[in-house]
Amino acid sequence: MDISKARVPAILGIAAFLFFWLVYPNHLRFAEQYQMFLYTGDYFCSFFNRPGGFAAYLGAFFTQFAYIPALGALVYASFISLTAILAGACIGKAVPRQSLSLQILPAAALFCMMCNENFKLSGAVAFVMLLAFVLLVIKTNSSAIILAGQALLYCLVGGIALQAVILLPVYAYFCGHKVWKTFLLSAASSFIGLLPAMLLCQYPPLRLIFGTEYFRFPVLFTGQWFFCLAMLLPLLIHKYRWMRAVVLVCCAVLFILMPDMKKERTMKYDHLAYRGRFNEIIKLAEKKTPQTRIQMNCLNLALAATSNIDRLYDFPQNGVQGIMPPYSRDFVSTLTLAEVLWRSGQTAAAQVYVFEAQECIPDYQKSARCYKRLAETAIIMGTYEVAGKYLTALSHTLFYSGWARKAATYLGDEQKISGHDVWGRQRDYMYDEDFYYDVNNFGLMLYRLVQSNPANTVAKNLLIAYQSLANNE
Amino acid sequence: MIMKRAFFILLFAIAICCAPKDETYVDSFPEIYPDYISVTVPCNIAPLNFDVKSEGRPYVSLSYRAYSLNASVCGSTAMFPEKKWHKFLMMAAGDSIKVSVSAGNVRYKDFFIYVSETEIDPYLSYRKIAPGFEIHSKMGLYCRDLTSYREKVVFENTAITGSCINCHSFNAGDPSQVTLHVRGTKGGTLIRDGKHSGFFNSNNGHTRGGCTYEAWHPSGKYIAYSTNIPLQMYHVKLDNRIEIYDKDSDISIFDCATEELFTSPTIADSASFETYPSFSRDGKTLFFARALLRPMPDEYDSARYNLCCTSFEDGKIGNEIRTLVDAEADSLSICTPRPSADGRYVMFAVSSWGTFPIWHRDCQLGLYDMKNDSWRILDEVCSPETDSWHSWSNNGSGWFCFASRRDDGLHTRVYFSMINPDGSATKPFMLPQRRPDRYYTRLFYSYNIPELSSSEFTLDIDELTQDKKEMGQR
Repeated sequence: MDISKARVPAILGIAAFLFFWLVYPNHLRFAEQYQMFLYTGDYFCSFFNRPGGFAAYLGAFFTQFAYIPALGALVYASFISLTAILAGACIGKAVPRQSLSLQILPAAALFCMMCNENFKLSGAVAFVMLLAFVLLVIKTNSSAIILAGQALLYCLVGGIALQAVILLPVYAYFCGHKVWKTFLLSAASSFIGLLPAMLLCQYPPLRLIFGTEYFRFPVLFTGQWFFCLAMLLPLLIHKYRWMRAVVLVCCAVLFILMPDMKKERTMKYDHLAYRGRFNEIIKLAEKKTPQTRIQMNCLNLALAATSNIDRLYDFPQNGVQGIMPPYSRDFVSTLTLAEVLWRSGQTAAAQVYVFEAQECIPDYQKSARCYKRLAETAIIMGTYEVAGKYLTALSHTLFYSGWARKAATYLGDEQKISGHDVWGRQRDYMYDEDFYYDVNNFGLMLYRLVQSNPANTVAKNLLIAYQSLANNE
Repeated sequence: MIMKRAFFILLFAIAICCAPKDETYVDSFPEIYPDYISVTVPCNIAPLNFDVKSEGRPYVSLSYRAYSLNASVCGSTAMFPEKKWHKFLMMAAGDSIKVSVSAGNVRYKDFFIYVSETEIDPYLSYRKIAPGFEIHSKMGLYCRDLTSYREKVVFENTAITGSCINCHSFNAGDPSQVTLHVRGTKGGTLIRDGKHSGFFNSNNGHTRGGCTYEAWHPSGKYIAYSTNIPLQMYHVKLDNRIEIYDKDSDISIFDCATEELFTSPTIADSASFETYPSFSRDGKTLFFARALLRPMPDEYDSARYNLCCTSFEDGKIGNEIRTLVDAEADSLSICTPRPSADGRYVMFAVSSWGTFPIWHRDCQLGLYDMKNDSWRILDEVCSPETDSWHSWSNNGSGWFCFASRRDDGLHTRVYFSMINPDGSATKPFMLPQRRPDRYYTRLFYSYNIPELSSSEFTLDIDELTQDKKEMGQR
């Protein structure tokens, strides 16, 4: 590849890296925390019971690096650069001497998708493999490769592979190859890949066509067809400068509109609360007033944890829901609220919330963050066998294994647990007697907690805040 | 010359390696997982592979009279070849197999596995679901061939978005006759009577709640359903993780021919809770759990269910209630009564109170003997953790399975035991797996509602997506 052709992918890659690392790092953390990549044979095999499993496995592998946002940003940027390179090569073969700027369309489409926190890297893997396949077919014009490769590609990456049924004939037309032959071979090969999947897999047929692995929610992910559009547009508009300009302006607008900075901010609050960086939460709130309920929950927790509850009304409050809202079945707010319960010493309730948050993850993944917290709560509550299971699983991860191996040394050692700066304290803070937890009477739960251990200042401060907010409602 | 020297050196090295090592004999059983020491197994069970929890590579062999079978070893797992295992078991049926274990330089005391002459139903169907609170993630219904390690997916909830499947029940172990519930927005009750399949809305407005626990009449003409209004609470200390109680419950009978529900005050008394129906094998008796109505949740720990029965003849529910076990008098509560295939026993779960004992750590299995009109706790089967949800083998052999949390206190595993002719029970053994330690350590699902059957359970997804019909009310 000559330097001129490498220029655009390189620029895109650097820009993407800086964006995801410096502007959007909490979206990366969000993606990482709702999965748990295990280095075990069972985990590997679990992906290969449906089409797209290979892309899903690779996607999960790359996503784990988002534990360190700089590494995650490097991964995301690499996919964008690779997309630009492959797309550029395909477009260059079809319409030689076209503007290099059109290369950015497919990469722009991928970038827009990546800005959505529920888009998974398996979609990026699938798109890159699709582009590589299209390029291979363009270069070789081999019927055998189309026939065998299309079906194999579908098995490996899932529904995105079916876009080749449109892309291959269109690119064949521009490359001077036989269009109908290409279309028929691609369609037949897709059918060969689809039919066994529809007969054997426990998924509705439409989901098998649209893909099951690209989006966190079990919906028909039609957004992936923007990739197809992004690959077709350069062929159709390359002759018209004004259309090129319009499309590029649209891309620029999308680059500004697609990143969701409100969600990024909320995710930052959650991350800081999870890490116990409460002073930073307060600084964040001072810069810009919290705008969502989760942000408010984190802020009030931070005020309680830093004994700044006298500053409660320095920020606009919305009643007791700012301390603890009614239980809601979702995987995002439940996990953040688990921090409120955890930090205030309500270990059993925290365990319930973390467990339920994990069960709510829409793509049925397990979460390393949840496993870690579940292991901690199990250690504190003395259920060491269960804690051991969670720790054994975490020991097969890249970034949590060190912590898991260290935590395993505490199992069954009551003295060591009591001496732990967090777990010992959490044990002391537990309720004296058993009763039924009622999150709708959170004030009462806090009251009984403080009664059990008056030294629990976080619970005490939350109780003061709760009562004050309740009185003002 | 050099070659000759090398050959003799090699021979010497081989001789050194193969020379018998000095083994220390220890007069104690090896620590193995699962615990298969002195268990009784049916003669058609899959190989009982196990892990040896000792230092050093294990050596395991079975012997019966002049025959022996060596296990291959993978890590710490002793694995028996399936075909040879089955031949071995058939040879030893009615007798016992000696198991010799050594690991490193330690030779352990031999133990025995007793092989029953009777077979167990060859298939087991169960749900695998996380031991959660309200929400379920991925879950499914699976059918396992008990003579091998083959497990097939019957249904996974990826097939119908947002669904959950539960309470599958076969007619006398025949999975061609099945009823189960699908929860979720597209939920309903499936009833397949062997010929036809219908998908019903079970909450027809006349019953207190939707159909929950069910039991087939052996004729296949009727199904008894309990209709419950369950509610849930959580403990702050999590010794018992969850408390589930019924705000109200009754029993109704579904007539498969007319597709109508009917009931009577005997099993739907406004002054009491009736739940967990089951029919006797001759179909003439309807067993159920019954407790006096109490204000819930205030008196949740005072709700105690007795084992009761009434007659059921020609589709007519009897007028009298017989109390077979007055558990309330002993401050106990009975749930899930299920009669044995030979009609002699009724097994049930028993705990200190309540109607959902699977979350009570004190839950144990009890056995009522119809011949002697007496009952006891199956102490030889139970553990300090929850033991519940049993299913009899339908071939009259006395084998049964149940779900137990004894492994780690949270995740239920399936165990098997047999009621001997003298009424005692054998030491239970865990559902065999190819690599049991690795499998069960990595498994974060609980086995739920294990049901034995005589043939493989299959389900067509179309059965669960067909148009829903309304259950009529007689």
